[in-house]
Amino acid sequence: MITTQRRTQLLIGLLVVLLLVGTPISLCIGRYPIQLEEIWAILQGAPVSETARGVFWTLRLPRTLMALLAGVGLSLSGYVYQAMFKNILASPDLIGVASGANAGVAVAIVLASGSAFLVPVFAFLGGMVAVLLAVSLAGISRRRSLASVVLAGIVIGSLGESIVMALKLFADPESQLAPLEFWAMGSLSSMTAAKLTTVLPGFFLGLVVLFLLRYPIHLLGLSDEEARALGVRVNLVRTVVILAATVMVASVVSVTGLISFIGLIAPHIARLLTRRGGTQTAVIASLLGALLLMVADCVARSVASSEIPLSILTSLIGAPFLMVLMLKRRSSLFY
Amino acid sequence: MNGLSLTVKPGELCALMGPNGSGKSTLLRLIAGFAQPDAGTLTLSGHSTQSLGPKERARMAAYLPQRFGVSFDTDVIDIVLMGVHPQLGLFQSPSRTHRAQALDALGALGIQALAHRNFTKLSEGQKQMVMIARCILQKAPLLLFDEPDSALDINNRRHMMSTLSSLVHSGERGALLILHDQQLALSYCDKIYFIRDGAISGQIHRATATTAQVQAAMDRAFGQVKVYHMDGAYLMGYHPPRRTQKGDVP
Repeated sequence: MITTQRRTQLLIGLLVVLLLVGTPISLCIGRYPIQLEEIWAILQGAPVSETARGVFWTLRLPRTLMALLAGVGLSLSGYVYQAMFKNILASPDLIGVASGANAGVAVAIVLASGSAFLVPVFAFLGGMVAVLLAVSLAGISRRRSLASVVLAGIVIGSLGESIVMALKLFADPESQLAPLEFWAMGSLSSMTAAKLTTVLPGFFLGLVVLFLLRYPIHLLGLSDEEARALGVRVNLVRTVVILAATVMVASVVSVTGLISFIGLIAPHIARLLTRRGGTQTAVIASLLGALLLMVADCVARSVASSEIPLSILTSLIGAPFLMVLMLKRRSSLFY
Repeated sequence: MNGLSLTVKPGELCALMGPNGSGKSTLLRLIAGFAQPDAGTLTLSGHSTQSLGPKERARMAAYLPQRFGVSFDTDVIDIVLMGVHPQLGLFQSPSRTHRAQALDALGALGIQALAHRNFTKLSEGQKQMVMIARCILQKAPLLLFDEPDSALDINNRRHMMSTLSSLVHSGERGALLILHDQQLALSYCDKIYFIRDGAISGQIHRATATTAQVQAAMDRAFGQVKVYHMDGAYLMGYHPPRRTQKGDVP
């Protein structure tokens, strides 16, 4: 019999191989196709056409790296949110990150200039402010329980949504409403190396904190009382972990726009595949998220004459995948 | 709750009994350091429970709440492994050695075969055994269980109690269990504390107590319970309600 431990290791290996194969393919695909030999030549500094070199360094590489980074960021934080809220339906939307970021962008586009500098800054701030508000609202409520964090997230989230709706009402349909709508559907089409570097600090800050707290995160899958009995500072750990995951999501989302479903589906699939929790399942969720998003982005830039927003594809690719797994595994906890 | 004092020595299996709302769970939570006393202090092996950090507390007492469980599919071995958390440093996670220890703990209870099963799919009796394995790994000198018998059938109750009994009597641990099943407590526990309205209303040492003393302690805590002593075992019973002439049950 193959143990869950062994299966987990095999899955990690398989995903790493798929990513290693997929990344060069992603670097080739696009409106200006690059050959694998050209990439090899570029990396070695051998002479290649200037266009190929330019496309590779300024478009393709940042875009592919961002797809991987965003995939990891969204799915890892999705995994963490699910663990923190002991709920497999938890996602960045639940605690208000997504609607907070959306509200930030609405403010930036409708009330301010909506410049390429302001939009990501406001998106990041909007997401962080929403979660900080939700966490402190839960902290000052009399019952410092899980339910009050969820409730506070929903309250702040709907507040954010009402701000977005109100601003849409005043938005100019062409110059403001359209970019706002497109932002909410997510895209990597305008990715640059500069944008990529703005994401890195928040991404790695979140990653490091989550890595350090990996074992307490695992223990918080137990009932709060039980985790406390095993020496976990439940409220402190939960708050720090939620904030770390939020920094990660908010940084990613600030440059990519809202990418739906990855944060929900990648952890789901990971849990269905491993049927256990813990750090390795989180790793599988991250790798899977990266793979899914990279594939979705390849499709986004290659099937139609214009770019397709990512959220359309992530849902389209992810949903059938999850459906197959649901039908195959009857014996798991939630299906 | 005031002026309560109770002792659980290493190698002693003790029960805490009393009617619903008498303060049993509160007392257990206070001892475990989960709740803070409004006034005064609570000491555990000479340390005030308030002065201990969460991990230090977990190294001194293994507390098992009434409702336990995990929200996601998790291997039994991983659940048992969580017992080492109090011994881990900040940011550390369990090692291979800890994993081997977890397997040993399962082996000691004869349930090594469950190691790679999904905890959420186990029966209540099996889950309770896994919890005991986790407490073995936690290595705390004091075990505090809140109604570990509540979800178990009669044979699983006996199995759990004999497991706990041999665990406690073999060594350096003491245990304080909240139990509702009087007969179970009188069959396995060395000492029983009765609690009513936030105060200790009586205590029994099983080895020396007479039937009359047991009856008296039961009366003070619960009333209306009849104690029988047969073949060296205590049996509990109560009289069925007398029917009135109309046939109603008052």
